[in-house]
Amino acid sequence: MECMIKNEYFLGYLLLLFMILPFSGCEPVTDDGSYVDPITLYEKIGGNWKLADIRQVDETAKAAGISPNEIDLYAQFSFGNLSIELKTENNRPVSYQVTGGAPELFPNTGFWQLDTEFPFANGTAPKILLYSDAAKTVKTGELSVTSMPGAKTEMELKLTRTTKGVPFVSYMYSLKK
Amino acid sequence: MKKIALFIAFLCLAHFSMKAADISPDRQWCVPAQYSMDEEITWYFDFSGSTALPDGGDLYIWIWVPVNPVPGLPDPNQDKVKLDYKGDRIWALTFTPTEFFGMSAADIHANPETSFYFLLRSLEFEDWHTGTLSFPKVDYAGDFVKSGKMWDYATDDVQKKLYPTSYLTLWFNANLADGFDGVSDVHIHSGYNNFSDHVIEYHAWETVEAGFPCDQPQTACYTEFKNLGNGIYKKDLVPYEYFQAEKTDPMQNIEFLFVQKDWSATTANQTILAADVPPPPIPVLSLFPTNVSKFDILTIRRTYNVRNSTPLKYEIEGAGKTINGEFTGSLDLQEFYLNIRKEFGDNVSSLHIVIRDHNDNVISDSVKQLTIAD
Repeated sequence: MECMIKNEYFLGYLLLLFMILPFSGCEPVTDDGSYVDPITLYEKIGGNWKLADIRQVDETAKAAGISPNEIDLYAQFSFGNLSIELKTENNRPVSYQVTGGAPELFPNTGFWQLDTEFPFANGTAPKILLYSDAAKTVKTGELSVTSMPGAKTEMELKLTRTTKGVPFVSYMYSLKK
Repeated sequence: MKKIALFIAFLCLAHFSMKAADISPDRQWCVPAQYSMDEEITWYFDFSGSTALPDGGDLYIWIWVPVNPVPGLPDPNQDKVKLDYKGDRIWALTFTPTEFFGMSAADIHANPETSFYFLLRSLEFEDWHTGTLSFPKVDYAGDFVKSGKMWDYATDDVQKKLYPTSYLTLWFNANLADGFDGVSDVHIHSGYNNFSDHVIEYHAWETVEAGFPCDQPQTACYTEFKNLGNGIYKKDLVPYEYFQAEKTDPMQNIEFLFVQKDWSATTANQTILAADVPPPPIPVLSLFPTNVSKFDILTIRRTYNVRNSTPLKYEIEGAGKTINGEFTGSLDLQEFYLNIRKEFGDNVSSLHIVIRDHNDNVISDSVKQLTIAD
């Protein structure tokens, strides 16, 4: 009986040791004062995305409550082959490229960046800003990130066209890696 | 004595009532369904349920509106008012009203009664007879002209139900059809089920030997309308016979067009739905989205297309370039997707869109102004 109690103590110590061990190697590198970039949205959004679905939304009809106000375009043209590569270097955005031969609803090549590096506290969808030049001075469009990659590497981008500031059509790109 | 007199009277009454058998037709109809008074017509009477009338028993018509052509029976001219036994307990009287009554069509219509009133009887009235029967006395041609319709139809059913075995009357007013001015001959080019089955074409270019019987579809007279004068035409037919189909062949509709003798003018296609076939939904042509810029994809859709009209065709002009092609999809949904800028370039500001059915009938001809995107 005494022997069993001793064994229980021993196992308890052993368990404690295993729990502490993993942290022994995690000496904070910041201890020496050097800086590490925080995780930004670029890590989540950057990369090569393949189109899983695309829907066209009639914003005029939707605003007026008229149906149908949405159709699926995935089976049309060559949307099934569409890929969007959002290139990053050191987690900083550089260029992007759309491939696959689908209709060019926004320029197929250019440069990009987000309007925020971190999610907005109020839940506003971050935007991918598209530029024609590397200096990012000539803006050619923007895509709202309406669904952010999380546990699943899936993302939804929305391209909205407006006239005099009023949306009249939009395209919902469902993407996955 | 009084009792004996009463008994004799009772016997007479019983004898009379036993001999005088009332009969009544289960159904009566006229062929053709609608007619003018100088046309030969046939009145049919089905006595399936009147057992007092033996199969093939003699029946005579005793008519008093508008006049009685044979005042009493028996009469030397009684064959004129005798019905033919057609078998299967159906009797018929074939006659031309103007000749039968010895009156002009105008005089027949001038009679104030709105029906022909008559009864059917045996030569000896007491053997069997009906009560008063009638057929409507209508100036069908006059009513059709007054209706202001380019065409109309009637069947032997009061609700105008059409079956393969119906007696169908088609009316046509050439005065109201473009390109038919001064035309003498009008033909029908027609088929079952939107021209999918049993098509009877009118081939104006085929030479048909004189005297060739008109019951052959390849003759011009097979498809020809009867000219009633003043631009009014009429044709009577029984669908399954005319279209050389079986009675049981599915008939959803009859589609047809009126054709001028040499095909120099035709009407648009017309359709009569068969009985109990629900009217198809009205086709809807739509452009998606409501507002579209040159950078966008325009989708043109048309729902509920009729048989034999697809694939639809498009012809679209923009910035001086024209493209043509066909829609894809089913009868229920024909669609076409247009990548505007790819087809028409950056200078396009509007699209002239013409949609035609498979037979080149224009369904829609419109201009779509493109929205200028910010």
